[in-house]
Amino acid sequence: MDNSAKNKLKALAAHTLFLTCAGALLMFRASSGTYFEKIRRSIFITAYTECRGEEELDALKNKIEAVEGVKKTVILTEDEVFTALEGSLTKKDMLLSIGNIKIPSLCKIYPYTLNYEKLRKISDTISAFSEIKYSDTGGKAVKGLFIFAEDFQKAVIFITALLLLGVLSSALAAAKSMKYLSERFHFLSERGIAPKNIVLQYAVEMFLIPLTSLIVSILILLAFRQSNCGNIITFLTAPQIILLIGLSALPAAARAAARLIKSA
Amino acid sequence: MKLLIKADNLWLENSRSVVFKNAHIEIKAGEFIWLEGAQASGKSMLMGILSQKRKPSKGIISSSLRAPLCNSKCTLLENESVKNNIKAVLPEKPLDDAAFTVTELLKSMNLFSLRNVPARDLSRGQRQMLNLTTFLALDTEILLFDDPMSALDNESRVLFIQAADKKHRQGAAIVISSTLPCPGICPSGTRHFLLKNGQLSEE
Repeated sequence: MDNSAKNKLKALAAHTLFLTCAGALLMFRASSGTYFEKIRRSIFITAYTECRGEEELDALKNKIEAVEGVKKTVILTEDEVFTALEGSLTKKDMLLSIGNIKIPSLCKIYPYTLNYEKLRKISDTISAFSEIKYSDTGGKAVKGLFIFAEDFQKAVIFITALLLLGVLSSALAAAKSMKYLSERFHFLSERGIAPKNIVLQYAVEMFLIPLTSLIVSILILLAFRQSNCGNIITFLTAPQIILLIGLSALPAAARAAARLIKSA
Repeated sequence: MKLLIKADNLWLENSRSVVFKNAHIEIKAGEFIWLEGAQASGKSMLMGILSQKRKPSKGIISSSLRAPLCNSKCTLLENESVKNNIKAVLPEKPLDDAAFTVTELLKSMNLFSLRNVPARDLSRGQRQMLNLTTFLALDTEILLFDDPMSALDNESRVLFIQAADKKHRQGAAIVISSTLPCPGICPSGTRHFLLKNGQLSEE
């Protein structure tokens, strides 16, 4: 194999590694973000109130949302609680026949944070409201979920840092792999060949290496997702693919531009 | 004949003194020019100005093209073979033509036996011959060579001048600067310039 073919293969491999790492990082960040969002959505404080009127409930909702750390409050009225529980209530008729039982309205309070202490603080503040009869943070099970979320967050930071390191080192390798091309640019530029003609001469090479490596890296990521963790990892979105296309041209463009500026 | 470069009243000053002054030179298509001058007489600077890589302190230089300048600073594709270094400057030629041109140049510059050797493994003289060959392979109307014979032995000097003459007969203007006087093997009609004491004169 001659030098030229070796150089092209090296550049292709380095670009593929770079784009695969970058794609994996984007996919991992997006997937972990989705996971945290799912956890966040599944954690809420339940509070019960005996307020029934629409105005009363609206006022309570605004009061709860004014508490620091509260993201959103959903209030289910007596009827809505009934509707929600309908499927689970086997003896609903019996329950309704007891005239003096009144179902309280239910407040679902979603926090911004995934910190258990802050959740407790919000719960205590809300419990202190005169309108609130009782509030519940979910006990040990929710506390366990918080511990898991905190550990998971640390793991996500660690894996992200590793992937970022991989992206940076492979980007360096990709830029270095294009050295042969920049040497050619310099060589031809010294011999009086116009930059436009040099770029035209190597346009196919400059275009094909990033494009081929982009396709290969997308296929690798797709295969990885399908074979190992199809349900866990979300695939690249359209904007992320566009970002990868931009990144694929970066090492070659940076090298070529630096060399042309230097030799101009 | 087509006028390629016209330089009028060129002055060049460095931090210490005037390198040359009132230099006039016209280079037309198909001319063979020998520019003689002692070391540090300003030959390289004049060549740099003619190739538009350097600006004069005063004077006007007009040129219709970008003249390639071969000097000791020019690089080679170190990891590529001698043959591929020459091929790299022949991108637009059909494969057969390029192969023929490369072989002819390699033979005329006595590099044929080294055709598959990487440039990094060449001696200083061989590197210089390859450097000159990559310029002679260019399809251009003018070629400037700044002190091309400094690293060459007598035999290689003759080979280079013969190859440059061949290029000149194909229609290219050749300008060679050297510390050596104009050798007899230069083609008839060679214009001989002397750069001495800051003055450029045609002999």
